[in-house]
Amino acid sequence: MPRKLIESKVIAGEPIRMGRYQIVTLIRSIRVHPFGFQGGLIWNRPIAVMILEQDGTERVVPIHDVTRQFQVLLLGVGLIGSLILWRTFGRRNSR
Amino acid sequence: MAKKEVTPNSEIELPEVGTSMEMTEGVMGKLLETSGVSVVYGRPIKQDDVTIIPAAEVIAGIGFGSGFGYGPLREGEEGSTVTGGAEGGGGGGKVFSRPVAVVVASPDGVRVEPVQDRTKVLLAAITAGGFMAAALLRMISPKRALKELQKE
Repeated sequence: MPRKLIESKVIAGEPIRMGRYQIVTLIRSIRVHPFGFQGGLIWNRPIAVMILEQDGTERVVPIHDVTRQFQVLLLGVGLIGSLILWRTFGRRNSR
Repeated sequence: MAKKEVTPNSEIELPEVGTSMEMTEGVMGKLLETSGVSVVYGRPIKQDDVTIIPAAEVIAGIGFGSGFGYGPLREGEEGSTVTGGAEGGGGGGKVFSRPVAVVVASPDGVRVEPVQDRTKVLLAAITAGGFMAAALLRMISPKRALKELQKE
């Protein structure tokens, strides 16, 4: 079966006993296999933990990458700000 | 280096190739296996009633290649035909890791504490500021104003 260029899947780890809880860790694995190239890129990041309590209650707690969110926000602000400045001062100079 | 003597009446047997490729693939496969759940989430650390599990983002890049070649057929001793060949391979990889959060389990419950890397946030802020400053300086530069005047 031929490999896909990009594969994304959620992988669950082995359950871990922590006190009265049982925790299942979840990751998202993205694999890039360029065609005709021997090798690739793997990007694994934590996405959530599933908590199983003794009474059978199950809940999922997402993991937010705060640093990455700030990075994307700041770079987005920089890009949009640059575009706004270009449009603003570009128009003034052309008058 | 592979070398095989062949009589004129027998077929030429080429050396088996792909050995270095298989070895390289095996090594790279082991590298890929290290980038799994067990690496993203660390071992639980227990202190009194509190247990924590560190979580990190892991990025791994690998690449490898191999090649082989055969020499020309030449006449050996007693009229036999001899050829030679060789194969080689190589590869490399890099693994990046960055802490993302910590899972904390205590008698009060289980919670996820995010890890903030202030250095990376500051670098992103400086980069964004640099983009905007560069755009602004380019727009208000005297050279640009002169070009606009010359166009008029």
